Amino acid sequence: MTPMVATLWVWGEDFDDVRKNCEKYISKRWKENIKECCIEISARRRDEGICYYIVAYTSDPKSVGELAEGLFYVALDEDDVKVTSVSIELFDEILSSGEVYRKSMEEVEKELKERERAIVEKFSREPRVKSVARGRKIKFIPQTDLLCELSSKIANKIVIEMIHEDFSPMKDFMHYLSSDVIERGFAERVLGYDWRKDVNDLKIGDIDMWGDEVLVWLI
Amino acid sequence: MGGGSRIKQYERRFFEGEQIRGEKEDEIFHIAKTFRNYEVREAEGGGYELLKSGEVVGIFSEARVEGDRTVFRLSHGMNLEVSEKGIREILSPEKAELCGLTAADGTICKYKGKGGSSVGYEVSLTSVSPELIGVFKELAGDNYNMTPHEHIKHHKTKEGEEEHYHVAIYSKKVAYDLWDLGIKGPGPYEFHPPIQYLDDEGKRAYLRGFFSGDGNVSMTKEGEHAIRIYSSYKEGLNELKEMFEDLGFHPSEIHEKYEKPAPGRHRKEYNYYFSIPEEDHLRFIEEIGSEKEEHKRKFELIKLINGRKKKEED
Repeated sequence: MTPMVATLWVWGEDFDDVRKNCEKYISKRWKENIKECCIEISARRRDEGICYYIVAYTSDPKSVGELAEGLFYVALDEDDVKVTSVSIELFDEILSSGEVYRKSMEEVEKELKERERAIVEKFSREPRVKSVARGRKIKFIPQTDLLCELSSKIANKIVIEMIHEDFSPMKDFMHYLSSDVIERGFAERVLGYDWRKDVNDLKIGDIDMWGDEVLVWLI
Repeated sequence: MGGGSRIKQYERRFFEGEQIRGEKEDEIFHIAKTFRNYEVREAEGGGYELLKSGEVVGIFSEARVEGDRTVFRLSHGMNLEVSEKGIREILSPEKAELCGLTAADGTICKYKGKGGSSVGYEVSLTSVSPELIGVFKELAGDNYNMTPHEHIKHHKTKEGEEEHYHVAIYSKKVAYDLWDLGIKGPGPYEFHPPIQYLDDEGKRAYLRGFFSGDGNVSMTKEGEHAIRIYSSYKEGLNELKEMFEDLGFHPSEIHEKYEKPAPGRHRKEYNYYFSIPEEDHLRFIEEIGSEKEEHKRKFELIKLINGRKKKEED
């Protein structure tokens, strides 16, 4: 099936249009062969630069408007947030069953600690790092993709995804957003977490000299 | 201003400049500056004349005579710069900042009124915090002598109802003035800085406007900090990066803050960014800065932390 992904709302449009635009699109495009649709709210926390996505899968065309609007306001419910877009993709198969993130946060943190060691081992030897280090303390700041799977009665599944290089505020924000999705009645509970951007997926982004330290931002 | 060719607009702006001050025959002038074919003369009673090959081509009430150029004020946030390179229209810093802010967070659009028979034009900014709304209003006043309409709207949050703001100039002339500069659209995230109309002061102001909207100052608990500019439109971001380079900054390459979605899914929007390196942070704070209080607060912290670091090093 040709990808049918459509951006239905972007920043600058009226907030009330999220629901209207999504419902209008679904009424025109939902055909008999559609088994599932994915609603994606894309946003950025301006102050910290955390990029995040709230994704809902549903097989019920009638629930799309409510889910899109509700999750849009969840995404917006922070001090200074820019919701950059709301998009919808239609599928002729059930895709949500493939998105399974069931680790505990403790497991994720343990694995990230292990990644830290692997990062030091791999990137300390990089010529770009070695050429500037010259006895200075090197600090690696890796980007991490954190995922959270939530069970839902309204949707087939809800997933929250975040990308940032400072894990601690990202973890707090993940807890905040997931509990908000639950409190607003869109999800029942958190099923688990996972992460992406293993050491082999990372590359050197920026290198900053900061006093006697070398900061290596890995992306 | 308005539609039509850029030459016609230029002539109109030029003419508007002329209208500000009427010429008096018995006025005494002295030469303030000469640039090749052009001569800038200042009247004893105030006001300026611009001559090309001895012929008066413009009379202005205000001018800024600087070392290597003279800048005359035209209307609607435009200035006329005369230098050894000739003459060119440039944006005033206020207009450049408005363009930057609109490019990052604003909208320029044509819409159909209720019933579909009438057409309206809107230049607007949406924000969940009121501070940028205030900046937009001030810049609209400075450039177009207009007070934008402010709509306070409400949305439900976990803590109850929260306000968000939409501030808009409903004007075909203003919309076309900004469209003609090509600052925003036609794609939803597309923007282009009007580089040919920006002098260094204008570039800094444009970047300040853009940064206030789509810039970010992040700081870890340990004090490491990053100054970044985000956009979903890579080409425009590259043009911003070049502007920083023109101003002597050393921005990083453009990176993606993006992870592939789950197999089978597609994502239309990418988050791109570039960073201002540590070595340029203090210069960035001094020369570019931001209109946002949160950015300003973090800038003060950066200055403090860097000062301490430097002391430790010494």
